This record gives sequence, C-alpha cells and structure tokens, in this order.
Amino acid sequence: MPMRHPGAILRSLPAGAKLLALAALGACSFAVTAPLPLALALTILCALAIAAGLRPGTLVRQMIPVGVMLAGIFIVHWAAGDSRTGLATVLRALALVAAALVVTHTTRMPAMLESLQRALEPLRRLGIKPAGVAMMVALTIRFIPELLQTAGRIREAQRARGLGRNGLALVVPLLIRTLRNAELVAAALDARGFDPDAPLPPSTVAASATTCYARGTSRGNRR
Amino acid sequence: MTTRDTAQIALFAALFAVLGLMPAIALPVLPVPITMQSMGAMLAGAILGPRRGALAVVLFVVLVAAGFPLLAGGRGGLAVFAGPTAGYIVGWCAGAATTGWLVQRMWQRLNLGRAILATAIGGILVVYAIGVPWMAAIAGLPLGKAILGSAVFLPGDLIKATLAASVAVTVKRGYPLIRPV
Repeated sequence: MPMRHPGAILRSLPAGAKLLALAALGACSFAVTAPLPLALALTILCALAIAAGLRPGTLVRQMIPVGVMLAGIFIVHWAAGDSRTGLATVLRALALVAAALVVTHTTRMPAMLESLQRALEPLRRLGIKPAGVAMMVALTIRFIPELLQTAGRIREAQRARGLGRNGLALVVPLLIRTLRNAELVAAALDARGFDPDAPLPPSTVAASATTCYARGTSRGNRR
Repeated sequence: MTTRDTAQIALFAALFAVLGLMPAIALPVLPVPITMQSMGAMLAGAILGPRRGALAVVLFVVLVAAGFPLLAGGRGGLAVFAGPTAGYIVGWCAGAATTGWLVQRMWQRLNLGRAILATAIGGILVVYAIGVPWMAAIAGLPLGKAILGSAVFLPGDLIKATLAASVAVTVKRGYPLIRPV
C-alpha cells in the first residue's frame, strides 16, 4: 500500500475523533512540567500542521496574538526567578494552539457542525432540539454578512451627520434593525411551517449555511 | 421555545460577530481604540434577558470554536480555546446570563444607573471571575498577579458597560423584550 500524505490521513478522520483527541491532549499536557518534552511536542505539532497544508506564514500569524500574551507571562515567571516554569507554560500553550490549528485546518466546517449536531442528539430528552440548533447556526451564519453591511451603512449615515465617533448612534440603530430582522425571519419560518421537532437530514443545513457565509462575506468585502 | 426566540437568539449571535468584525472605535478618553465585541455579552443579556441572552452568546462561542473567524481581529477556531484568554470567552456566557437576570429583576424601575450596575456585575465582575483564575491556571501564575495584570482592561470595560447600559435603556423604550418577574 502506498504511503498516504499525512494531511490526507488527518482530513479523513472523523471530526468527533479529532476533537476528543485534542481535548485529551490538552488535559494530558498539564501533567508534563519539563520544558524539553513540551518543546519536542511543539516541534512535532508544527511540522504536522505544515505537513497538513497550513502555510508557515499563517501558522506564525495565528500564533502572534497568543505569543504576545505568553511573552508577558514568561516575564512574570522570569522575574519571580522561575524561568523553567515560565518556559514550560509558554511551550505548552503554543503546542496546544498548534494542535488546535491542525484540527481546525483539517476539518471542514460542515463536518464540524455535523459533529456538533450529533453531540446534541442525546440532549433531546432535556428539551434541546437539534433541528432548532441547526436552524440557529444557519441563520446566524446567513445574517453575519447582512448585518455587517447594515452596520457599514449606518456608520456612513452617522458620519454624514457628524456622529461618526458616537458609539450609541451606531449600536442603537443596528440593534433595532437586528431585532426587526428577527421578527421578519420568525414570521417567514412560521409561514413555511418550521418545526424544530422534525428530524433534519444532517449536514444539509450546515453546508448550505457555510456556502452562504462564504458568498456573503466575499460580496461584503468588495462593498 | 418559540420560532421568534430562535430567530432572536440567532440574529443576536450574528450581531455579536458583527461587533467584533467592525473596525474598532476611537474614544477621546482612551489612548487605544476599543473593539465593541465584549459589549456583545452585556447587550445580549440586557436586551434578550437571561435565557435567550445566554443562549445567543453560547451560539456565538460554538461558532467560533467550529472555526469561523468571528472574534475581534479575525480570530477563531479551537486555537482560541487553547490560549490563556479562553476563560474570558467562557465567562461571556455566564456574564450574559447574570446581566439578563439582573435586568429582568429591575425591569419595572430600570434606569441608567441600575442598568450600569447590571452590565458591570454581569459583563465585568462575572466575566473576570471566570477569566482571571482560568488565565492564572493556564499561565501558572499566582492569582494576585493575574488580577493585577487584568486590571489594565478595567477602564475600557467600564466604558463599555456604561455604553451597553445606555443602549439597553434606549432600546427598552422602543423595543421592550424582557418579561418582568
């Protein structure tokens, strides 16, 4: 059997398994307090991320916000005379971030949302309806580009009135629009006989919503 | 839960994302521009009430975890939850519930002062109560130092609590959504 690309292997694993592995890795990592094995883990995970197709530039860019925070944490440890613990803390956090990036990069969004839907299934007995949750996810994703455009328009209008720096003048109209949109959406759903108890074919909602989001944001950016 | 609740929760989660995706606003009193995203949790609680408000925040957090780059600065994915600031994001859920509960209790006699009390307790006190010990645990820092470090964000957060409270009071006049207890 020919050797498969590591990225392809990771991509073919079920999302749920990858999420569980990530959680287990996170829990176990706190048992390791020596910097050397943590540095090794960080190196391996970064190599895995790059092998899975993540560009090194993206990897670095994703790590910068956490890195800045971690630098501050290291300085505090170093000042307290325990740079070993400081180094271990920084390496552990970076390794977990790298692991999370590997999972996010090798799992398609619909697969992630589908595993969420499956995880919710046992909660049906507590009154949580998976189809209702799927609808919410779809609506949120669908309306982010919509509201972003609305926000841009309100901002322009308020700037024309000389209120460009007034947070209240921006947030209040945006909120009212959001709530009014919610009324319209609810009426539209009811008119089409939306039933949160109905079993949904998995992934269809999530998949269509993700496509909507991608289309909407690219259009929004060109505005 | 009615269809209306479903739509309100979903659209509020979208609003939460939009608050983070919009460019930060500059305030004359602060040297750095602030993002409005952390106001989202306070607003969700103060306008939708404890249950719907908290659910809107949970929905937003789940979408971030699923990989949508919705946090301010375009961050998203599981990596966010591996970092030292994850506790603040989890804290938003409890913060929205607390703010909503307080606003609901004071609904009949809600004024700006009471609303600020609700947004500050829920959106700052509760959020910090989860976020700071979480950071201390991840960073291996003593709690005292973590508290000192997070005090830097207090002035900005107080401004956001005031702004969120005045928004909530204004919206209540035109669009009251919370049923008083």
